[in-house]
Amino acid sequence: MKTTCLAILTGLICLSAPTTPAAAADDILDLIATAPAAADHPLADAVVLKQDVVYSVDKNGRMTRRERTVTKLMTDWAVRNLCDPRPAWDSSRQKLEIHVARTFMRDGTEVPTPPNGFNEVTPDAVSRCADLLGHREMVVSHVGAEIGCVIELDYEIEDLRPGPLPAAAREELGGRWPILVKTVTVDAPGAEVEIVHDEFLAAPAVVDGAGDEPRTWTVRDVPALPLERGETRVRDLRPALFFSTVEGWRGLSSRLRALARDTGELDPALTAWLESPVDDQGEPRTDLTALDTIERIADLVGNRMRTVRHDRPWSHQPRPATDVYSSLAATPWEKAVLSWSLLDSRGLPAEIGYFGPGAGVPLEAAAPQAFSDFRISIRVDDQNWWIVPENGSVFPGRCDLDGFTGFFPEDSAASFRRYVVSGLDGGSRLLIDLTPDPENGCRAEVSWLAEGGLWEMDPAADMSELAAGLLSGVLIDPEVSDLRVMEWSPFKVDLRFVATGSLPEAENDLVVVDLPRPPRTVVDALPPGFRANARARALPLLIERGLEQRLRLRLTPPEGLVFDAVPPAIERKAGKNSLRLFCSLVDGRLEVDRSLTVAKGAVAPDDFPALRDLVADAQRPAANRLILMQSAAE
Amino acid sequence: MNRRQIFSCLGVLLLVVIAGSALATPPADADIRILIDDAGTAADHPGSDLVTVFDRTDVTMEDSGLSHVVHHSLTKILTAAGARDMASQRFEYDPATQLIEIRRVIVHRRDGAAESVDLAGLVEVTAPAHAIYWGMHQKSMTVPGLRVGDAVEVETYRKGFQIAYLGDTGDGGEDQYIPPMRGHFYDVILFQGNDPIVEKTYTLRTPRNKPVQFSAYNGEVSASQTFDDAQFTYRFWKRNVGSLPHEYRSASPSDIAPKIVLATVQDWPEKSRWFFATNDPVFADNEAIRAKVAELTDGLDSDQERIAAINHWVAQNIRYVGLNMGEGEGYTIHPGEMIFRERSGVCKDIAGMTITMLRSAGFTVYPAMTMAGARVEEIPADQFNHCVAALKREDGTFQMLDPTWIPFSRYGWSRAEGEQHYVIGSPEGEQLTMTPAYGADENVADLKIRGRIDPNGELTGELELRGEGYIDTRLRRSRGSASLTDFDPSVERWLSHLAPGAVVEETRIGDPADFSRPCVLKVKFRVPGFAAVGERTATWLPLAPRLITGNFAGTSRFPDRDLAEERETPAALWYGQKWLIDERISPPRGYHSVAADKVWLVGAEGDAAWCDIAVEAAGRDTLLKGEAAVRDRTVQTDDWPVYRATTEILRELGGTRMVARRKGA
Repeated sequence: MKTTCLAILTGLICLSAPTTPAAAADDILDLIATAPAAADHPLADAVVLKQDVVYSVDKNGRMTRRERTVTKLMTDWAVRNLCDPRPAWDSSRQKLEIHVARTFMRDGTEVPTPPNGFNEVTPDAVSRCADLLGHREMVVSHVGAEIGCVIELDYEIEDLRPGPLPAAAREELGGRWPILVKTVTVDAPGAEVEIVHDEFLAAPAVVDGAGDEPRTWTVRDVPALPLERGETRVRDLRPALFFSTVEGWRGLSSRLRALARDTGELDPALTAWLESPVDDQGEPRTDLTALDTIERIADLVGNRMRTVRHDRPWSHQPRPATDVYSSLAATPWEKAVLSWSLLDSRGLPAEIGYFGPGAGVPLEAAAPQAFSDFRISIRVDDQNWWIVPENGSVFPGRCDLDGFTGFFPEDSAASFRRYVVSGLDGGSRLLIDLTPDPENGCRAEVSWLAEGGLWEMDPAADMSELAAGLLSGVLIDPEVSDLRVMEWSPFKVDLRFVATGSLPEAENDLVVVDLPRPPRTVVDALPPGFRANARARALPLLIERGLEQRLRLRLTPPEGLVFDAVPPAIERKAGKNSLRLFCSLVDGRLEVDRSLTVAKGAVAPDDFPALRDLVADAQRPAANRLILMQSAAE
Repeated sequence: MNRRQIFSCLGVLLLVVIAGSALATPPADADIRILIDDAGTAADHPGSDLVTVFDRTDVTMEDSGLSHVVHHSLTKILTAAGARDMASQRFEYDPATQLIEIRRVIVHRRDGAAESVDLAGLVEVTAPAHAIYWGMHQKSMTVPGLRVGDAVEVETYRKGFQIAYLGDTGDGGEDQYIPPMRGHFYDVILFQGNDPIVEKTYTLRTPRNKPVQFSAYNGEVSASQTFDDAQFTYRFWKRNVGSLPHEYRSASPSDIAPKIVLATVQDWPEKSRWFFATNDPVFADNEAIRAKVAELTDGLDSDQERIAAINHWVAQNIRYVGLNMGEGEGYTIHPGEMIFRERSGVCKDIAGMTITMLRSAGFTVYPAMTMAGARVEEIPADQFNHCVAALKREDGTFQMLDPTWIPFSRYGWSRAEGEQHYVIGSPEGEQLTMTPAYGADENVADLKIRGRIDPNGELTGELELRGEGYIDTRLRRSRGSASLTDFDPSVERWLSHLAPGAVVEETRIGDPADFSRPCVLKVKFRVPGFAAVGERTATWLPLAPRLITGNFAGTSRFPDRDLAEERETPAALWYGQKWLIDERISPPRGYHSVAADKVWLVGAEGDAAWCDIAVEAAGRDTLLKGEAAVRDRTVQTDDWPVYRATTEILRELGGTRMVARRKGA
């Protein structure tokens, strides 16, 4: 009987006085008395006055994490959004203990969180997977909250038995709000400790302690490190401390392999499914090629199973393959392992790649918490293929996780290798020579060459439509002829064609022609949160896909039209990024030459305005259109 | 009916209940097979992952109001996504007032086999929760190995009701399951959902001394009523119902799905008196509350000032979070002194704080049940999801106050709560009533823009946006309710609708908590490369239409999106609104506007929506002046074309080039 008894869970929550000197709250009144005013942090909804985190690992490998956070709330938003923190734990092998939860109102009144302010809930992420309901959250509601109050929460999560991997952790040293003081204590003899992205700390972390004694890292006055809306890769950039008791990367490799092998026999129904009819309709498949098999496995795992992505992905080992298949729900790690097992069972040896964001992966501290994404790599007929276990994507060539560091535990020697996936810059060259055509108005000779991952797309069902789309805004309903597809591969498109049609209709005697744009624009190269009118940034901007675009348009206007406004000349450079726009008008023929380069990589906050202005210029309305006037209007 | 939603805020009586076990005789296996086969495949139900073969609810009500419910359903899987969804079965309930048994779960395989799922696999935990923590549980299980073509049969038994608590709850007896309005029963049953339904049946048995009044809404539902010596039997059913349409700004399912509303209560005044009596004891003040009331009302001259001061203080200072008080949670209001101390509660508690403080100030105030976002039908069944306060004036009429919905609002009652039903809990008993409509004239956005284009095509300008009604509230919340790090970027994002590189030079907005005057947003900006300036002409696109559809802080009901030509259900906009536009753009020196006088016209004032914007030359400048409006909070299907046309013409105007010519050109 798997029924979890609420009483037992509730019993694990214990309110008691602080039990260690480190968490003794003697300093709370001093912290409140010396807390900054809202005016001292005009863009902060809250300020973390102090945060102490202690990791302790016992001789059996069980870890305890204790956190005490004291936060001053400066705004209405903070009062309404920050007063119900949710410590999370895995009740199948951990217990949660709340030591202190209280609010200090502006007048100093202390309001402890009442018993009904502790509410255990199921995390949304696991609510549809009965096997994973051991993951719990305790909502701690601070009552008495008001603008200017201070809230304090002190809790610990203790392993009742060790996790599937030796103790390790990732602890962020910065966050959305300013932090006045943060300490991280690691009491784990022999643990490797490493800090990444310390360039965003106001000053290097100060270390107290050495050897096998508990060591404490202290950072002070950490600025707020907020993300722009739409950006999700926070782990790339925030400073973080890793610690690990794993025996180096080689040891982690060995353990990950063992855990993957430990998922048991594959359910016969699962392997039989691979030959079953697609969507259970029609006849069974008996003629699957290797690639067919890969795609079916990717589809089964990626699309037909719910993805359960929760906050503690390394807390429990992947469930047996049979359980995963039965529940049609799996964590990303489980999906990766199941994909790998299925491929292996079909004689298709593959590798699981564990990926973490770029420089956010430590060099020495072998902590699995560095990894957030999984890919399966497999070779078929001398071609490397990738599977995204979470969504069933299958694609050849190079990995899509640009800028990530991949870790591939190897089978034979339990060794490891790591590499940084190089970027796939998108290059595009669009040449258009447009001249008057007595019958159709205008005739355009077009050449378009695009290369790189940014251009990845399936061959169009109607190539003529794709070709015509390149002239959108230039010609009305262009008729495409002499279409030649010189090359079409996933990462390369080479088209040549002729199109005829008329320029846009005149309005107020004016003919407005938009400069042609290929299917991918500069916007596609920039992260979702990028705005060309943002004032500043606190964190670097990550450009995951570089882009090079060249446009050359030669336009000889039909009789009766003359140029009135052409795009302004622009020459901008911002680091490796550049924009050049030049127009020349000779004997009534206009030549527009525009080249844009946006390089892959991180743009430092200080360099952001230059890039922003460059991108804004590239998107200016006036830089993307030209106006012709009926000569009779002269 | 989604009971969790219905009762999430107020929780006023939730009933729910369930019927005697002998009432639902399972169909024979052979019948089940036929039903499954006849239910069709994905080709018969395009766009659906599942089809409900049958959904049968059997309710038996006892004289005390205690009810027993057997729910029996059979769902066929049409797609892989459907299999994924059905693989996890969840049954939520409130253990304090309900009992639930999962009686059986059977998988009918597509090859004809029937497999019972081992119920030992059920896991019970507390359910997911956000903002309201009243201790809901869920029983969960995995239904293994589901494939397209399989069907899942589930039978459950429930006893009791959700959320509300009554009397002694710890004795393990039946009392804890009896609804708070003892001896009564109600329900709202929707006969359409997200999946197509082949058959849905609802059967209710009540004692002969408990007749039920009922009515069907939003379409036909078949019904029958029979009786014997012991009980009435009511049966409602509907067959072959398609899934609910998914449309832009869909109205609440309760307003569009065929439904039956039924209740044993005689009328609304009876419900009103019960609600009053249940809650009246909790509004006692204490010294701290009296001191705060005195502080808030000190120096204020009029009753309206005192009412506003108290109501706004509550709105601004009691944060929304629902903690379980224990007995009476869900339909009773937390004591005023508790809410004052904890500075937190859900809508009923926040309303209760206003009531407590206003009573302390000498006013007569009652709690009221209301339904935000959907109709309340005339049958006196509990159909509420929200709680507010009703202040009784000397002439016997009521002034409605909703502190939960008015943080950073000038008003005591939100302008998004127009045409909303409510029932006040008073000693005399009140009828179902409706708040007034807040249409276009009550929610006015006044957008004024002045700009100048330089010879390089750069636009330098200022805009001012001020509002009345809900527009004003939205403006205040853009600053007051938002994170400090979000306000400036939100203005920048708005201006980027003019051009991606539009630069915000300066933003000013009034104090969002100063309710004595309208909140005004002023922005200075420039847009490099905004206009194409040629030898003889300069052209640009107008600003106001794109700023309206740019929807700053949710102020606009005119979206920048393609709208369907027709729709099956009304569109719920929450409030009507009117935009007043006054835009004046000066072209570069030496150029003059050649705008031909043109009026962009759709409909006329008083229609469901209208646009009347004139573009004209004024000296050298180009002017846009006029208005665009949508009249009501709901756009009926017949009115959809004019609303759509109004939205489209705004978008078209936003893409129409304005032209100026150089003198002599």
